[in-house]
Amino acid sequence: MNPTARRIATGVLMALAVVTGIAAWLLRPQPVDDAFIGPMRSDYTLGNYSLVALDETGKEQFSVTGPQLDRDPLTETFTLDKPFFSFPQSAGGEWEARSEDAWISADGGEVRLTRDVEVLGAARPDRSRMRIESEQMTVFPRDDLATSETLVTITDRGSTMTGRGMRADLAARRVNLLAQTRTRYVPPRR
Amino acid sequence: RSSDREQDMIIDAASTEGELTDNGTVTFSGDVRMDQGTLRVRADDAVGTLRDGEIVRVVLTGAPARLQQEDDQGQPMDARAARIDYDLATDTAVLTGDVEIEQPRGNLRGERVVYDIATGRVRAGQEGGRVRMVIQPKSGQDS
Repeated sequence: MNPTARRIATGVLMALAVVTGIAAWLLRPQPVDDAFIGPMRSDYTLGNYSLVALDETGKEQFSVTGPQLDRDPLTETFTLDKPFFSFPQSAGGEWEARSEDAWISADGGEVRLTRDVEVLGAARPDRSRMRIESEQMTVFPRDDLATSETLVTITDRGSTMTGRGMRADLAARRVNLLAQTRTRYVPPRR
Repeated sequence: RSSDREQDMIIDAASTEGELTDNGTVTFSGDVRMDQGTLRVRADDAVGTLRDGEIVRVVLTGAPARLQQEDDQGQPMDARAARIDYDLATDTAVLTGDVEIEQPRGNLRGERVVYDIATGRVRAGQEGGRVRMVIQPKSGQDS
């Protein structure tokens, strides 16, 4: 093959190679966009509901009412909007709790309250009640236990206690503020 | 000052645990700072006692615990002791254990001293414990 023909053949081959490369690049398998996986579709949603959770012995653990409750079919857990909880106390009376959002575990053994959490202790004979406020709190109804990892404010009669992190035994009204605590006590005016 | 007892009492601590019942106790642990008007107490730990929901007593311990206050004439008082038992109902603080009190008019050492929070008056030695007092000589201008 004379040199001119060879150069033409080489050029054609190179052109073919380039075209093939471009075609291969264009026809490469497109990455599949992560299909938007939104929140699991509830298997049911209740509006203006009232729910009572019982323990294995049939005793009431807590009751809750609110505008909306969604159940996750996979985990069998519940998410609630603006719930109002009532936790009966063995010593009588009940604690009440409200928040913007809440989550309840499948067995009802754990209740997570988030955003504008307010808990009111059982009313005393003089009708006064301890109030606990925080942005996050977890209640374990069976153990009468409440915990928080964030800033907590406890108001009770003349005293105000603040601290970061809390463990509270609701039945014994025993509260432990874990760090950076401040108690302000207003003495009765003499 | 006598007005201290009407002021809010603020107690800061590393952690606080208590039974918020009518007659429970509240335990303050770690770097305890108690302030009420001009009354300032610093201690390692403290226990507050509630009666009918009101704090009626605070016992502070430290190595040493320290109590400072001004009297109604603005005179400072600075006391150190192993234990300070502040009874809010009677406005008295009983200091025990290596007690040292410094006031402009003199210093006092003993094992047990009763300090009147409202008047600033000090009583010591009733229980037979030895009390050592140093009265500062009046300086030239005063005499």
